[in-house]
Amino acid sequence: MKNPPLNHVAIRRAVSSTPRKSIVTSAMLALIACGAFVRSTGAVEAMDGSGYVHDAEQQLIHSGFGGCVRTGYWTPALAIPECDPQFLKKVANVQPTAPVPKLPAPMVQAAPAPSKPIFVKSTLSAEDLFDFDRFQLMPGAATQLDQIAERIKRSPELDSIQISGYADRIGSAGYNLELSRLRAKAVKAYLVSRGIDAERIRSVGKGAAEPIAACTEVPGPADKSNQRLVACLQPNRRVEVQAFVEQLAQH
Amino acid sequence: MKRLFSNLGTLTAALGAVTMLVPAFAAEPSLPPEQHFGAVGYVSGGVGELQAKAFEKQMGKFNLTIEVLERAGRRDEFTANSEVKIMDRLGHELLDTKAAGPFVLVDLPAGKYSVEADLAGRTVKRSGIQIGAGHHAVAKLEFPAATD
Repeated sequence: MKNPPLNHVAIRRAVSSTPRKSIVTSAMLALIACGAFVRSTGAVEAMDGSGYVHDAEQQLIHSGFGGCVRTGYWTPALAIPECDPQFLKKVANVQPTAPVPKLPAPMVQAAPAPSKPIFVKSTLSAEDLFDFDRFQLMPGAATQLDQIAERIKRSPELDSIQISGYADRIGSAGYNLELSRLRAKAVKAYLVSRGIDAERIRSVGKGAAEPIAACTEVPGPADKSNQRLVACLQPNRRVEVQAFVEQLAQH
Repeated sequence: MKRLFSNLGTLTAALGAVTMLVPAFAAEPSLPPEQHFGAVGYVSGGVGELQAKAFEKQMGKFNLTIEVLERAGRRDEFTANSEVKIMDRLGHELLDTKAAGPFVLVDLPAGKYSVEADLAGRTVKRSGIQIGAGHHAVAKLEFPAATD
């Protein structure tokens, strides 16, 4: 443990001496509506239904690690053989013979021909941007952020891009708000360094709001070693990139 | 949504490959640039592990360290964005700044001062902070635990 006068930093520091890998896998990054979603008439349905991100030519987008990029709607049920064969196997094992109940085709509400532009929002997921109590981008973040930068560059119709930074709940509310702001700023700065116009991007901090993992059963943060909690809360240390795209009425 | 997958192997490989290309990514932050309020020079910040370390390492370059903390259970936690003020013994304000993090490092002439922090409508004050030649003073301002 640290020397007594610095005890107050222990909450923020308790894991600083542990090997990186145990706490690394950190942030979730969400991306962006791509042109494909908004150019087709079925933009909204596509967003509601698709488990994977496609580009404007309806080709699957692949991440820097070679896998498919999942949308926020992704669940194992939406897995396709090309992207996630392992989930298909699992699903098959769990229900080897169970008949799939026939569900009526979802009623797609026939939207009245919109006279006003509507705004479509989408977020995609990626990981590993920030360590616990840090806002400096991890080296592994570059691959994913480069991909996002390319997508934004290829889609000039994306405007009002908002980067929201998030923190886990360990630490005071004010501190986490500032930390989350700095995380959002770091991602914005990186995208700007990759040629995105700073005017298109707004960065905001959301503190520990909207947690993805609750981890209520894990002791801490006042626990002597909050490593388990830190690891459990990993998905919350993230940045989401969202774009609102004006979709014009189609007839 | 529950995280159902984590491919650490691929991740590690990708990390290794990229590390060589972006050496500047995890650079150790130094103190932010010194600011001035009238004649008083100061820096504030300390959010994030690396910057907090920079402040702790270099606080000796200033003669007063102000730490703004908030009680949480049996511990103190760092705060950010409190309004920090320093008054001399006549009540004149020598500093009034929004602290970017838990630390404010200040250079003051020898004398007796009081310091105050305001955060979310609450105020904590300490007086009788003695600054003398060759002496580094630390003033901790601790807010009681926030009520939900």
